[in-house]
Amino acid sequence: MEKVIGIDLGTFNSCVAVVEGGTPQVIANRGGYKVTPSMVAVTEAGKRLVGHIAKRQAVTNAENTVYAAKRLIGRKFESPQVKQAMATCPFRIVAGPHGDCRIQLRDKVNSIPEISAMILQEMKMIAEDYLGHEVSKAVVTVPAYFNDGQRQATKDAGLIAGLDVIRIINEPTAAALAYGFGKNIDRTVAVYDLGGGTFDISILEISSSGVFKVISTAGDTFLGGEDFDQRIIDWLVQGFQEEHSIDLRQDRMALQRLKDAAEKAKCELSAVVETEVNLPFIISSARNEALHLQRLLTRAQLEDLTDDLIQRTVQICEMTLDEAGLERDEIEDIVLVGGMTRMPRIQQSVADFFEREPCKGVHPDEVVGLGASIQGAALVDDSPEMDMVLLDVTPHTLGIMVVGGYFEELIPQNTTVPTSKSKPFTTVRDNQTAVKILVLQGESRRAEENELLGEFVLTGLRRAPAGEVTVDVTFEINADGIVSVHARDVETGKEQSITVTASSGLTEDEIDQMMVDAQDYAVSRRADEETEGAKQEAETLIAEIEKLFPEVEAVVAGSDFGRDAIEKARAVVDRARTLMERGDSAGLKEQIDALARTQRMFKGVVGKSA
Amino acid sequence: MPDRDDEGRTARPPGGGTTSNSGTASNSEAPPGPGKDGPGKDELIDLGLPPRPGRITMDFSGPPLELPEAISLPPDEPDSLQLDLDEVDSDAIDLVDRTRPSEIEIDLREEMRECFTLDDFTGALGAALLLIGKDPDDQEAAKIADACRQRLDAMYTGRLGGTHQVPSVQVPETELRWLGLDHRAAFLLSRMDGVMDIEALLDVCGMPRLEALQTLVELTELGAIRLT
Repeated sequence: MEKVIGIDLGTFNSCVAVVEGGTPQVIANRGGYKVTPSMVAVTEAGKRLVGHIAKRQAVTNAENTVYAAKRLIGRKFESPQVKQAMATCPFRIVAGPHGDCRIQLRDKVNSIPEISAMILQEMKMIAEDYLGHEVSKAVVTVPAYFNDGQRQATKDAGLIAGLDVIRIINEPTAAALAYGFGKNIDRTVAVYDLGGGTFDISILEISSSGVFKVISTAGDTFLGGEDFDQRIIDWLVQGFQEEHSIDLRQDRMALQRLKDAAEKAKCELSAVVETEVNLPFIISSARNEALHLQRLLTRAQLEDLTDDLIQRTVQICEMTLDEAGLERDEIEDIVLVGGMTRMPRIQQSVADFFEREPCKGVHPDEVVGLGASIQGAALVDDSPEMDMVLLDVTPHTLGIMVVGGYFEELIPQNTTVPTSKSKPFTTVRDNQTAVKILVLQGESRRAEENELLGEFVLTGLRRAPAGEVTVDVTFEINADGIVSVHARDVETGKEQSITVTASSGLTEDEIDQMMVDAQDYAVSRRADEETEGAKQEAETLIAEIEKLFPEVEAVVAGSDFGRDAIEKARAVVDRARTLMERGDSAGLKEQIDALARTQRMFKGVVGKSA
Repeated sequence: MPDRDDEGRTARPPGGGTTSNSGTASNSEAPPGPGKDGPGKDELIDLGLPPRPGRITMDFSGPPLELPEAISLPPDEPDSLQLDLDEVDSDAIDLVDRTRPSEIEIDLREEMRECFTLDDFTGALGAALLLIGKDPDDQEAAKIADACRQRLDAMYTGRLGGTHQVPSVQVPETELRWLGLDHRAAFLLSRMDGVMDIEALLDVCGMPRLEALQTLVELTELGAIRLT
């Protein structure tokens, strides 16, 4: 049975998990970390960096490091979200050919699904390294508020990365799935998710029949751990400026260290009540004196610095409960998601608001990825322990535009799919022979404020006074989430229909080309790893030979034979270096034999003389 | 007292030397001193100039200076004993080897070639870069700069045992400040996590490769990092 991996493709961090032996588990990356920063960078030399390594140079190579690409996925270039990102992000966001937005990294313009694909490809490789075989199927999570376009763009990202995304599920649903795994519960839960860059609160109903229904969801896509770090950075910078009259933000190296130190201090203060931020040689003064930064930060100070941020999350919780029409005491449990929820003050604020202690049984960083892996396993595993039915719901209301520019709802938000709904409409003008059906998605009463999914015209209606001709409009959503809309003249039976295919903003040709590029990258990366291995071996041998040269020269001094041997050895080393510079791994592998022989010979010469 | 020529100017030692420890540095008479061979412990020999920046007041309270010591100025501090020659009598001692701009260029090229021949690749690279700065089309300098970079890269890489080595910090965070580093070396240290190898470190540090490699060699020699 093929393994299906679950991927939590987060705004700031991603996580991959798999179910093994009936137990879901998160897979650590090569560095041993269970979460991988959702960051992609391209170095000056054109090398692609993904994850922690990209994060470690994010400030010093800010223009070429992409983070939070998820905020842009499936968005139009002209959308307010893209404009906001353009105002705050150091990397270059440019207009794409289909009204989408793209990101320029060095000399290449990348689509957003391509950037997400780079992260998904990294997660795929992490899973493959762990499992020891290729992985081709995945369940990927997205925020509950993602529309069809954003979901499709995420699927396309998977495709580009070489993954068949067999299901897209909502992040709070995944969290609730992991929370409810192995339990047979009927419960209303709140999922409070404060991650690196976004905040989401969702209210779900979990039923023992396996239905996870998102009743209400809200959030702030520009509120997360990064804002907490920034408050610490500002505090450190201000203190340093008062002491030395130097603005550390002007120095990229200093700022990168400050950013790392702020995040570290924030994490430490979840466990201890005070921590020291110690950054020796942070900067040199105008007189070339090395200056150090050393300050004590207490938990209470951090809480003061970030109190308004915490209060913002509480206000959003309140709004969401109102929308769901629920009282606080109707929430039976609270699931905390995201690393920021380890902060004691946040836990306290959540407990105070919901008048209930949050659930401690789930790991905040891993719970979404684990939920995705459970869903993945359930889709391919027939065993009784994985016997569950997870029903998808529509993330947004579907309907059509009616007279006056209003939006008429046909399928409400959070309706379990597959589903079908019909509604009769009449003509509004005398002798009207055609109707135009505009298919929309969204929650606004005004049609223009919702997203247009497609349009078609039903013609050949009987000429009659206004209101006499009836047209039945039917919306259908199948199990794969494909929306079909039919309009039928009740009198004549004449029918017209449209199938709405969500678009990520990429054409099929573009996706095909990106898939080829991604595949090439994967192949070249594996080849690079091989070359790197050969290079390491060669470097080690060269270093040993170089060390032995003086001793060998001393031993064979004056002898023609010895001089000849040394010259040959020098030629072997030089050739190996040339091959390394050229990146000729096949040649280098052959040359390693010559290096090894030279090393043995040198060792023999030195050993005999000793 | 120094020898004087017929016109009363201070004589210079052969080879363009500047002064002797026992001589005065001006046309004025030396103040009386207790000893015959030089000024006394608390005596000052001044240059006959009001003390202000750029002029020299010499304190001979220490042992007598040897000539080579007096002229071996740190190469990177050419102004440390700079005299304002416009205001000083040309006969006054001149501790600075003033070379004309045209001579600098000639010397720089010569220095680049000489350093390269002597395997002083750092020196040769420095000179080559200065020449390229003056003339970006200087082919010879560009060629030597490339060759130097390659050699230095190989040298540093060899001393580090290859770029696949994983550096980790050996000094406790609280003791780092006693190492006398600069902020760039400290930045490199801050990027090390005990997992990333040198090649990856070079990718993330954003510093020129050679500078980063050289700094890593220095940190290794200092005992600040360990390579595994």
